[in-house]
Amino acid sequence: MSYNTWIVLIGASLLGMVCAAVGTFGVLRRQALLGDVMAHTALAGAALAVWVSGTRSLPIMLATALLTGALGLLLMEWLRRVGRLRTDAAQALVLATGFGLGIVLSRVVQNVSPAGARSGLDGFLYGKAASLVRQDVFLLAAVAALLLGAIVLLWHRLKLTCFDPEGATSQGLAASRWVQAMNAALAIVVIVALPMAGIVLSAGLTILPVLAARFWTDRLAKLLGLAMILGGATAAGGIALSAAQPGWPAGPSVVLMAGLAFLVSFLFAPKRGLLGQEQARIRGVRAIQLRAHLLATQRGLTGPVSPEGEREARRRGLIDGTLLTPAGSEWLRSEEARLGR
Amino acid sequence: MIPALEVAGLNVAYGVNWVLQDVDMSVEAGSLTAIVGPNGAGKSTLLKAVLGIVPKLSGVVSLAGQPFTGADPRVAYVPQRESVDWDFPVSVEEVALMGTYGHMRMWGRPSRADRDRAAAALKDVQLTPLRHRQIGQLSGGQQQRLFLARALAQNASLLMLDEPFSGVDAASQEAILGILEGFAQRGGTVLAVHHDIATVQRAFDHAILLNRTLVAQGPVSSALNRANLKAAYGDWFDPQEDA
Repeated sequence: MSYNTWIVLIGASLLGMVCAAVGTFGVLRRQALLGDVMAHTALAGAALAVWVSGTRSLPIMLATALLTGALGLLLMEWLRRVGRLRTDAAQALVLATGFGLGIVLSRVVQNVSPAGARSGLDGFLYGKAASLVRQDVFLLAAVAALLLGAIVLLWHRLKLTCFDPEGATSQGLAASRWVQAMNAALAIVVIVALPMAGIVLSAGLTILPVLAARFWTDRLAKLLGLAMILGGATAAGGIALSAAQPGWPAGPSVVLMAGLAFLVSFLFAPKRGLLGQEQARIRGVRAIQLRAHLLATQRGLTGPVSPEGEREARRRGLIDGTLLTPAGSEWLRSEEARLGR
Repeated sequence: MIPALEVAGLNVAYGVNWVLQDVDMSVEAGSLTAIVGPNGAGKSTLLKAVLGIVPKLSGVVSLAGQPFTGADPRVAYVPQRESVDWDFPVSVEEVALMGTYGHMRMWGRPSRADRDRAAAALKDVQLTPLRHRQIGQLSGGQQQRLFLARALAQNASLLMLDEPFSGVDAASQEAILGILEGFAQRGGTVLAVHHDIATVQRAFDHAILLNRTLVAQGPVSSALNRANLKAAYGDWFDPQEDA
């Protein structure tokens, strides 16, 4: 692998990790789509920066993108609180209008100014992971260290605020301040992710690894750790995939890998996964039917109370004709003991 | 005796909806006081306004004679069970421990004493054997008891509970009532929103009858007399049905 591929790989993994870490709290607050709203309203800010100053500097474009992204978030909150719109309605409204404005502005800018045509605004739409350079990796590492440090330091505050903001407020813990801090962190990571993953997909980096990780654990600390591992690994996997397959865009490959991680978790996680749950359900149903049939046999009932139970009992040698075998009596005894009957 | 909690001239509105109108009330220290009233009477809003969760348009609140702005670990709040996500990845033990966070610094960690207090609270509500479970695996009555444990762990002098008996079976209701009585006997004060008048008449000593404005307050027998109940609930109220 080339030096550049390594840089991109490391940068993407860092980005995936930090997005997942911040996204964990967003998903738990049931605010998974906040990042999406911010990403879609950010384009307008980047386009405005190019238009007004003729800049082609990525940091300036990102700073103004952060500004309009945050404005979009505030507008959404205002519509919800003062305008009494439902959350999903306010999100849809701000997201669509903000994105429309961003597209129009970036087209206009690209037509009117020479800087606009070369500004790379179009790259914001789908992202260009391959454009990551060494300085970006340092920047990402700094952002990651800062945010992770804050999460560790404020761990208990954040946990309570996400779980029960009103309870936190009643204890004097200023929940609204921590909610704003978490939103600000979400805004920062989504904007940092924009050049790589693009507007449409960057918020996915904050959501998919968390949803996947949730299938494997019931503890917040483990959820956070696992989401970060999945976020970093799927980002690296996506980059490797796009490097190996010419023509595969990097950002979308990363999101596809995260989607795959979700699918695997959704299907195969032992306790919460679909197959595990279905298996447990079938096992439970079988045990109930088998027990019902053995109990009926023990009481001397001849008509089967459960044909499925009878078949299972015969298959396992627990009955012989209309009588319980010793193995059948033993199974029934241990099952009754287990149920506390 | 100084009342545990006193509210004067409280007004609260949600948008154009004037929910609480000129409410004056006082809660006797060491009492078990119930807030009673029809749906939409502003019972939960009254608690939330006192706690500073909902903004007041006017009104002063004092706690044991001192001005009180809400947001204070001396007052423990037990929200309605539906107000949180029970799928949240925390254990029973961790939620009980959250009651001690009010005393903690911003970057603090729970101390040995905090953990002991949470463990004792879990024991009081008989959830010790379930302490490692994820909270979604509890029954409705157990979830309510867990919220109560979190409030007890806070070491507060005033407990404010919002519908602690909703969706709870008879056995859990008796258990919760027993814990509340014990809390009051140790000198604490209990203020609970509750809609079932029969339970209030049986288990509480004081009542605040509310229908957006204060209808009556005092010892249960006088505050919840027929005339007052009729004033709060209107002609539809039939004491035979509720009793």
